[in-house]
Amino acid sequence: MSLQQPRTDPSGHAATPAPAYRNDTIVALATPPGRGGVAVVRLSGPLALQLAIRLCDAPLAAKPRHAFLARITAPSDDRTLDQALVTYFQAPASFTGEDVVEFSTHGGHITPAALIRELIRLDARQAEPGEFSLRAFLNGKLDLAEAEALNQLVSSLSTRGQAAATQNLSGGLSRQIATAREDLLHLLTVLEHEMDFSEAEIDATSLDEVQARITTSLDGLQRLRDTAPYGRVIRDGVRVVLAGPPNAGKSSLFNALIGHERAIVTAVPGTTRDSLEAWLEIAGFPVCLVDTAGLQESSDAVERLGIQRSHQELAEADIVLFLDPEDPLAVTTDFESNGRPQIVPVLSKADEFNGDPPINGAIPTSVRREDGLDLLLEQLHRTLDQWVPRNESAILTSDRQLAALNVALACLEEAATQVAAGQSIDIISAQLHLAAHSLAEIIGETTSEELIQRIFSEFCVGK
Amino acid sequence: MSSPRHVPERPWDVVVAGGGHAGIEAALAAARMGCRTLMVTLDPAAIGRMSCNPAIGGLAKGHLVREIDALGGEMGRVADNTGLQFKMLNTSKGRAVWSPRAQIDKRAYARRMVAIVANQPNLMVLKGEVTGIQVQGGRLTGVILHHEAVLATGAAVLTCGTFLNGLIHIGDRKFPAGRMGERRSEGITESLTALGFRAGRLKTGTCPRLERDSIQWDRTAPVLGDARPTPFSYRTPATFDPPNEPSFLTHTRPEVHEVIRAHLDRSPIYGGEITAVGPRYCPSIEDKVVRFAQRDQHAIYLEPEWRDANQIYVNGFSTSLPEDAQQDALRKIPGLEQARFIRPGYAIEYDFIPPRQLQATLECKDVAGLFLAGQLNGTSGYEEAAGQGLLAGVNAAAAVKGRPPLVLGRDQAYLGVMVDDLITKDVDEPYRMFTSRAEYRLLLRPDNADLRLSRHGLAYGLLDPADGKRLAARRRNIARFQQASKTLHVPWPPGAPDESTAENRSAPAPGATLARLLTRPELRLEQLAPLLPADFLEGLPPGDLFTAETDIKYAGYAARQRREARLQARLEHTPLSPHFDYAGLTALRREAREKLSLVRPQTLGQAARISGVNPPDVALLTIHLRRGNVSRETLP
Repeated sequence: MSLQQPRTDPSGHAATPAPAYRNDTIVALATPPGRGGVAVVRLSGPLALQLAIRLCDAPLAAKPRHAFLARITAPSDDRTLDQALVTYFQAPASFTGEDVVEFSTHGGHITPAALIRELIRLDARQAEPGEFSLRAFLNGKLDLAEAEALNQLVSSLSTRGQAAATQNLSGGLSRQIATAREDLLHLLTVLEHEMDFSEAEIDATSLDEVQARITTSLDGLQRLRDTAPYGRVIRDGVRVVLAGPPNAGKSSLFNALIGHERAIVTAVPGTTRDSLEAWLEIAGFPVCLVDTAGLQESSDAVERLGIQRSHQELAEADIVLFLDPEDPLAVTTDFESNGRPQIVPVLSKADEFNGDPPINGAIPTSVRREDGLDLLLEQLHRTLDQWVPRNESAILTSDRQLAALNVALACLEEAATQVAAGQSIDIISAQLHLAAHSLAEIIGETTSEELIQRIFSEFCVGK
Repeated sequence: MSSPRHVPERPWDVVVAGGGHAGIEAALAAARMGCRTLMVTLDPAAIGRMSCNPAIGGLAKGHLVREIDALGGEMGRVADNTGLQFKMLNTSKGRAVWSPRAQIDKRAYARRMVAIVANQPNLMVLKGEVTGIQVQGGRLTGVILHHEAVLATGAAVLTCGTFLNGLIHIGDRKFPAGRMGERRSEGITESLTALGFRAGRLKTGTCPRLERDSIQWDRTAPVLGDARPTPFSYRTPATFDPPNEPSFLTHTRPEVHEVIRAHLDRSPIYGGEITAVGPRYCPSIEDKVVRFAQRDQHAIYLEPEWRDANQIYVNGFSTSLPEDAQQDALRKIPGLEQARFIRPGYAIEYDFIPPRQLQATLECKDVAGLFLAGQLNGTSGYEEAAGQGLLAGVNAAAAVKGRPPLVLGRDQAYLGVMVDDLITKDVDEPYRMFTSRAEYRLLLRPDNADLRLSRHGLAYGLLDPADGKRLAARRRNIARFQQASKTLHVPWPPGAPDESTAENRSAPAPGATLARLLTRPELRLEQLAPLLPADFLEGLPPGDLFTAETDIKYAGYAARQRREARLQARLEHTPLSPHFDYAGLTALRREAREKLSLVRPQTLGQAARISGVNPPDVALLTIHLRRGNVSRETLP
């Protein structure tokens, strides 16, 4: 499934025809196109039931939310298209909140395409990307955080991505944000109530209490922000880069890890001139394994480019497996200053090693003897586990959410500083309002149509 | 009362029904804009009468008075001239929410207002009663007097206040009246509902009035105003030197609360007689006792209603209990053991016209030329009434004269917040102004109302050219101080927390600019003044210095609110047709559809603030409108 990036013009307004709302009936294939046992065609809008009845002989209206086995006939030429399971979801109890009919037809390209063609001929319109979800959002079936979770669920790369998306889709993130926002609004109510009455009429909340409540909010939201790196890696994957001197056995290990030979493995130093990538799942994480050119001084222009590329890969890596058949620990110091990637030293070709094994801190592996791979995977497991937040009930998975949360945190931090500095409460409450406003944006309590269109334009067709 | 035959036949430009705080400002504004204006009132001697507490201003209300004054209204000036005690409230909570308040000599206030109205060119006063309006083709053509005579007019402002089908309750007694001892006006509600207006019912109340000589004053604590009083009006001269007469503080006690609880079933509100909703924020003593059951005392201020008055106002003791219960309860309050009533407290029910039927100009959506202001719109308070009266008067006159209307944004004035709230939100209790209602409150300080608004007062001719000159001088002074304070280095003030140990440890400065120092919450210009060059503040009036200093303190935060207001401006400037078919936009939630169809907002910004319309509904409307625009542009 491809993600559509919204195009923007210089003024910053979305120029893509993001799904504008129209009050018509839309149809699209809801399952991935191509071969498969079953394909689901989704039809939503005021005419959904009426159009469906013209195609199939089932008494859909009599029993909503019941799957009828029905013959689908094309009204244009009375041709039978398929035998399908047809379910009618009566508004508002449907995914979009409108009348929805779902056809589970036989898979493949031909049958669903013919069905969609017939529906369009009857008065439905091909849905745009994200249009079903947009309708669900506009009808109050999803909030923005849930919509984003839905998008991530359908495009998730791994078990963990799916789990986080499912959590967020069921409102985990929205609930935490909403609770944090309500706490802030409650504090604001108290402060503004005090502003609304004179000193003689009511007792003021102590600054210590205001400070304590801001701190509590800050703590909770900071914990949520700490889930952002995890949210990023389960969304975009963990980049595990194999690095080391030429002929250290990087490509052999690469192949061993992905389970089949993909890289050209030779004994000639510098054989790998470009980086190779492969995706695999480790400990539920989506992992992008990257094989790189060996690091050395080279006079070969192509190889030099490859080496340049390797350095680039290292800079973007989350984890570097540093391979060296002799002294993997010595070289690792070069990278550690870089900060981000975690270095896992690997003593490659352990079967040829002449020193005194084991070398402390390096994992001895031998691809030839199929030795040490389980140790290496265990180590990767441990490293990846560091990303898993203590509480997985809500995970920040989009950059938009993170940006809004950062704004909220900055406002709260400033408010805390101001309280300490003795700033007046009219100013402090203005800061808290800004923070609450940013939190509201995360869950879509916003009137900004650009924001909403941007989010839905990243969806794929059929969702 | 004039007989209909003697009513002059000539058409008026603007007729104002009512001579309360709204009516006065409406009539003065229209007359000052050159309209032939007629004020019709039941009792010309009651013009400007303060029917409840002897005070003007207070939290957020003080802001309103400043804004009314900045636009050229009369309330602030008259309060300055008739005040008995001036006090700036909320000084511990930031200058944006400071609020001026004054105890007022009610008699002197009304006397002065009567004189101002009488001396206003273009303005005539008619003793009489407006009982209805005449409408042709959706446009007001005249007002109906005493159920018969019709006065032709270009526009009318109705400001009928508590007089509208008023019903007074004291315990289980009830009788029709406007205020105690005054008749109520009838007919307008019926006339408006006959034209299709919706009407509702609200209630408010007032406290008993006591005989001064029956109070044991030595059992109460005198409370004075500020030693250095601040006037309301920007036009009041610097020589302002009002009296500072005390009011007197006492408290209720548990015994008082017991009496009230024992008689709750005889209170028309708790007994279920009054179903109209009362103000949450100006609660009766019954309300306070029930709602704050854990408190064993409530403050009671004894306020003279005018200088040397025998009549004492019992602030904090609004009640509709039967007279004997009021007396039993009051006499358990220290100092009031022997108190004698001049009259008991009472509750009053009255009609109002839910103001979502109005445009932002306070003109009715369905009747061109008809403007409503004041308590009729469901508000409570003199200041709220006066503010609406001023705006309605300006806009009625502007409509007659073909001039642009005056609509203030939520980021421009509390007046703008109030009108916008009234036309978008449900008024389910009497609406009172609060600082918490103003989301851009850091911009809307009481000290800068003239800088925000006086240009409008000047443009409409409500302020004199001399006021314009004074405003220009004030702007120059403020700019001069701010400019100079950016370059003037000042030694770190002795006794203030050392900046080098605070956040600036890395860059300890030997001193900082004055502007920089003033941004710190704990430093005030007053403390720094001795450290400044001798001539630095020369020729700068204290009020200008105060505003200049406060601008510096608020600059960063104000900029943020201005940015927010700019973001919001796109919604505010997207018009919605009154004929928009919300019912056909089925993707809107049902509640949103119903509310939008009912209110018919004029802009997307208004739509966003209607209760029951959620942000995604607004996004959907925007998407819908945007798409409409696109197709108009792209289709042939």
